[in-house]
Amino acid sequence: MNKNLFALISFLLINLVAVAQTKDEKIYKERAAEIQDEVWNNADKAFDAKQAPEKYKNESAVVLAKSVEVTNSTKRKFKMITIFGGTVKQYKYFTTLRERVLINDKSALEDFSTLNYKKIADNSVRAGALKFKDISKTFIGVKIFKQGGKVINISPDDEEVLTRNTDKDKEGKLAIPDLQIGDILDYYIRIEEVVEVTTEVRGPDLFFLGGEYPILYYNVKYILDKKCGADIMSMNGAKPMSETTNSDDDILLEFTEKDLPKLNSTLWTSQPRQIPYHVVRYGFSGANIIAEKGEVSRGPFTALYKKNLKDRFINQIAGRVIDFSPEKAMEEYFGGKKIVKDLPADSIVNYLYNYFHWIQYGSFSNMDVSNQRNYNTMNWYNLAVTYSELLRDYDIENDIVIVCNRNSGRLQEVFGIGDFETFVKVNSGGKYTWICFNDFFQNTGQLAANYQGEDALILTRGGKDRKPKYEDLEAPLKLPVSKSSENVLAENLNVTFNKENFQTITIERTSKETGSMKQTDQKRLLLSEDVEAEFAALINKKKNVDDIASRKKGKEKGNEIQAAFDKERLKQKDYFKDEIKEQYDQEPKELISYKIINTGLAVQNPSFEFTEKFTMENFVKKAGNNFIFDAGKLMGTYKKLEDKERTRTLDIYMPSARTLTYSFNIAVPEGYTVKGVEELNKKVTNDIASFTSTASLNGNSVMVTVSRSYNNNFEPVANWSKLLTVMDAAADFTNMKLLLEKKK
Amino acid sequence: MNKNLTILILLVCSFQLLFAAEKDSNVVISNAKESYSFDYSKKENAVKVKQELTTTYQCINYRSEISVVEFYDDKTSLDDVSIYVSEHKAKYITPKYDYYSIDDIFYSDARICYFKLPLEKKGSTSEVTFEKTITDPRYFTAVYFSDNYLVKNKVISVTIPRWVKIELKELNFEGKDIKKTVEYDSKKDADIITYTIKDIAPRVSERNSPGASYTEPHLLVLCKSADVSEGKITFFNTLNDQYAWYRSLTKDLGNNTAIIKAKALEITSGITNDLDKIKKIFYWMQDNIRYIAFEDGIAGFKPEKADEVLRKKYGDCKGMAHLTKELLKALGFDARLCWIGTNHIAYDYSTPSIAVDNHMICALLFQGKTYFLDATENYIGFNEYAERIQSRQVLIEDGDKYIYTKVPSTTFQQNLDAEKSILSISNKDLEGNISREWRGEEKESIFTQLNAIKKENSRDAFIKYLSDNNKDYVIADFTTSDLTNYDKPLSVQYKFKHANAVSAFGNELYVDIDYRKDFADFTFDISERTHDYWLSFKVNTQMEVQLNIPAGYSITAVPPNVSVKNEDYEFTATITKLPNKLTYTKSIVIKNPRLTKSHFAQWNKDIEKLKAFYNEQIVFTKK
Repeated sequence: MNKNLFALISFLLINLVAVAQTKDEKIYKERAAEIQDEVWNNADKAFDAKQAPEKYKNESAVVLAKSVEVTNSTKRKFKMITIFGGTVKQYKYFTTLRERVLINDKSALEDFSTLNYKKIADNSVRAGALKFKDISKTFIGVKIFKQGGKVINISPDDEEVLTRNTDKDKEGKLAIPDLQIGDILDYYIRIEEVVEVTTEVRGPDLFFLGGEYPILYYNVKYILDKKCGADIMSMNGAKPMSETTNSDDDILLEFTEKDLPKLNSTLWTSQPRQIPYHVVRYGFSGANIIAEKGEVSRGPFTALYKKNLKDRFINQIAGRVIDFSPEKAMEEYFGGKKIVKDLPADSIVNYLYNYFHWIQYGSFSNMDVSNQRNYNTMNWYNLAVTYSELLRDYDIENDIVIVCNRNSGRLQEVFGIGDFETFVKVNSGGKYTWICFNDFFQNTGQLAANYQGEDALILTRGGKDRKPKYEDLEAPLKLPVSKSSENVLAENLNVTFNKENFQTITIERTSKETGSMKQTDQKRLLLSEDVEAEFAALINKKKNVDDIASRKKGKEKGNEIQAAFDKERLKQKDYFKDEIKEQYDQEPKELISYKIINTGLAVQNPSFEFTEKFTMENFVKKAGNNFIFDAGKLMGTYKKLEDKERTRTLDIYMPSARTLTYSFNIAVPEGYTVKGVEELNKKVTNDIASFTSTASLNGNSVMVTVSRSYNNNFEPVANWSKLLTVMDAAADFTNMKLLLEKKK
Repeated sequence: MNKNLTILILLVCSFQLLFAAEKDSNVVISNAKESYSFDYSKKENAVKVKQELTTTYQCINYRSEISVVEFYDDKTSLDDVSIYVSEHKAKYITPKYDYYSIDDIFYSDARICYFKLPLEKKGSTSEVTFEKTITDPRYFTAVYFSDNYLVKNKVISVTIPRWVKIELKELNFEGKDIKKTVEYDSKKDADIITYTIKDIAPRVSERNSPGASYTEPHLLVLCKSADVSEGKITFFNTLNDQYAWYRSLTKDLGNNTAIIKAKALEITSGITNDLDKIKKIFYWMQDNIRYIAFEDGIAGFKPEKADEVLRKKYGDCKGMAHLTKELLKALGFDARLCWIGTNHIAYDYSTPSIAVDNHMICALLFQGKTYFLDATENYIGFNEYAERIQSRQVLIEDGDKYIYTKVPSTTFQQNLDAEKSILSISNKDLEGNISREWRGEEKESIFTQLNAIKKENSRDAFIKYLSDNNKDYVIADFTTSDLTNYDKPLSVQYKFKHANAVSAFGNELYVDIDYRKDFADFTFDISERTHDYWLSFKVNTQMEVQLNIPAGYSITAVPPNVSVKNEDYEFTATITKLPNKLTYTKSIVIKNPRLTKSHFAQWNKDIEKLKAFYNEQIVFTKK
């Protein structure tokens, strides 16, 4: 009997589930049909466009029209959240992207021929009998306009395949049928999200005015509930978004652009500063945005977020969350609290900086020994305030510096608190002023290249109690820019010709890098084991692996970490080979030896130096009894810019002012004389850059020195031609040759 | 039809795609046990293959965490997973199950079960067992012995009830420590074949390697038939059975022939010559039907309706072959579907199995000759064949029978890359006019690259390709043949200036005559490379340069000629002095694109000769 009852219940449940699925599918289809009507019957005439202007006939594709529409709404829903019931807020967010694209070639056809989408994502949560919705549904519509005027309306339901297909999780893929070159593809993606209880910040949604293809018409519209607020910002020449209200008092934000050319990648640019864009962020009450309910706030929000950051620091100090434990370590290192108090400020500044590098670089207890951690960044917000407070504990005056990275927007264009980076300026008058936390390879006192020349806000802390008052420097401070002589790559190369085969040369190369010229090579050539060991040595701590091994039952693990290090060390040869390959555009025939001479981590010895000995082919060509040697190639690969790169309209953001010097000592083989030395002397110089090469024959050696220098990290576009002359001279130099002539 | 390819990829190399294992891994498989047995379900009247796969991983030097992945699909259920870490059941590890995405396959029924498996300390082991069921023995095609890790010990046992007829072909066992025993289990009335394997090296993923069926030790499983209570079930006892199964999937596809005929007539409108009509259909297919692979269950073997492919303008190889056939048939031509295994697969139809083929094409029987049309090769010409199908056995449909033949093998001459130039010295530059022509797979390769690039960039890209991306090569007055016509050779003409190709020292001029230096860097690191190297196609590179001798100069030195000839390849480079000019001719012919490891040393030496030639200059001396 029970068995029958169970069978009946099972039968009913199975059928209920089946009914529910059918019902869900029916609801989805009905909604899809409604949206289809709504979007295709949109009155925006721009989406009637059928052709692109003649000037775009050679483009892979042209976006004839593109629109993004965002709407939101909220209402209260009754739920049995207590025994008497109650209401929760339900938020709806609808986003519609529509794009009408003229497909001109196979590449574009490939790009636009398939769509992947999350059809349904149901992340609703249950609490007892209650269900709080968090559902996202995606609806797709596709039309194809053939050249002869035929219109094909694609039914995604018939064409899609589902790669995930559960009630709560459906993922779709659509290969668009009957799409050919010459067609116009008109498609939309509507995402409808329903979320209960929690409000959230939506965005920031970033709209660059340009894209991979030219855009003839671009409209973005936000129709936001009057209970919602929005922060917006328009930059780099983008006209401000319009702001109106509709009859329901909803907020309407909109911009329309016409005929936007495609964006091309250009050498030495800072796109967030050079390409026009709009950014929008919005949310209902409770969301962490600037605007109040029903309001629109226009950015930039630099002052507001500076205040937020300041409050954050104050709260950290007041909340006693500053970690003062480094003081104990420092006192142990120097021999006691009293001694530390009497130390020069520079000693304390340097110790603490090294301490934070060590602690932030991390432990190897998770067995991750790869040098990928060289690319990690540090938490500059916490470090700035912690470091600042620690210095203050030793009466070392300092400020917190708020800055924007050169590769993001400007200081005056801040839209979110995350646009800020922070570091510390030490005012002791000692050697070290700038204490940056952007990566592990800045030295104490070194101002990171990303911040140089930037405007910076200064927070000066007053008082010594736990309720600090920060004074603001109203006028931003212009951070200094290092000289080209402070960012130097200096290479020395001794070149010999293989006695058995002149066409193989042996190069002994020593590279010394300073300032902003060293971080790239430090990150790729240094092993994490060595970096951590040196950080530990600088503050007299045990290496992490030794520390782990010394713990109770830690010996075994320590041995294993060391085994992992030993295996990782075998890869270092490949790191050096890769560096050589990048430098000379070919792999060494043999890498005979390699060595890091100095890691450059300690401020007392800040240059990064390495040496290597390797053999190379393809530098020497036989010519009868003589040999022609591509001496210019010793400088490494340096390619001439293409014609289309030689004209530019954007200002020039270079990584830093810098000098690159090369010194070649080429041993002329016995029985040969050398010709062409004179031709290696070149000089091209102007007020912003220079290229100089000098060569002489000294006994049996040809001595060549080459210097290439860029005086500034930024140049206005008007100076491009001056830079080009120097860059061309460098490229020409790489073609210079010497003749080794057999003595008669 | 790429279904089989999908299976093979999954079996062999998909681990590397998602979860690459290092060559010198810290992890080994200390023990593995795989057992395969057959069950008969009377209710379903179906034979099923049960698999139990247990793998014990061990870390050698330091604790680690590895990714474990197991595949299944519509024909293979994953019934159970059990995980032990350091001999304790690891309930805290929750396997994830997901769709598996493979490059170039838009959708397949392949699924993965995956999780991270900890190895808690040096020497510790973790063990994983998967239980799977293959619901149709036709899909039980292979048992591979190697893994991404070194396999120290592995036991594979196949229990074959005597009511099942099956053949296990042992492949690539040479030099491997594999022992085999056969026992009869009277209780089960079954033969138990057991392979005990020791120290099988981890699989190595290398570019241009032969497929795993050529290199990895494995069993090719040929499930032939089963005598069960309900009678005999025949799988693939003979090739006839395999064809019959394919035929059953293709004979009633329900095409709307009227739509297809209308399209065929539209495509060939105005063309009267039959051969021209055929070509027009083939090129239309290449241009208008996109290759998008679907490998979904039985649909992995069953072509889509031709009119559906026509409507969608995309299809997989089966769909494209089908539409090609139907368009041609609509015009009255004798076109047929064909099944074929590309050269990625080591097997042929002497071993009937779905593992034998992975592709479908169309055959055309025209004027006493058979042509093979593969529109998935987007830019190959009519009667030109891609290396991957050349010489491969092919089954051509022929009603309830089949025609069993081979795709012709073309010689290297099909793939011509020929350049001719007349150059003069102007200061430090070489200047002149160049014409270059590509045919066969060389032409297809260029077209493929050009069409993958945005239209507005393709001219620049073409010029960059011709100049080897060297800014010192300046190309002007660049013209091409019709870039939409794949029937004709692709050709270009342009004016050329190679800046700094000439070095002047005293009374002498030194000239670098070959700006391309084909194959100069094409050598093998013999200590690193594990597998043979298979070029994508045979090579026929020809270069002819006429260089005018500058007035007042005479030739005083030229590089010695190069001549390398063997049965697999020929390299020649020759400079001939003539009155007032010299000619440089270079020929690189690779007749056999499969470069075997045993010949790498000789190949390297031969390339060195070519390289020595490239690295020597012509010297002109002032008279």
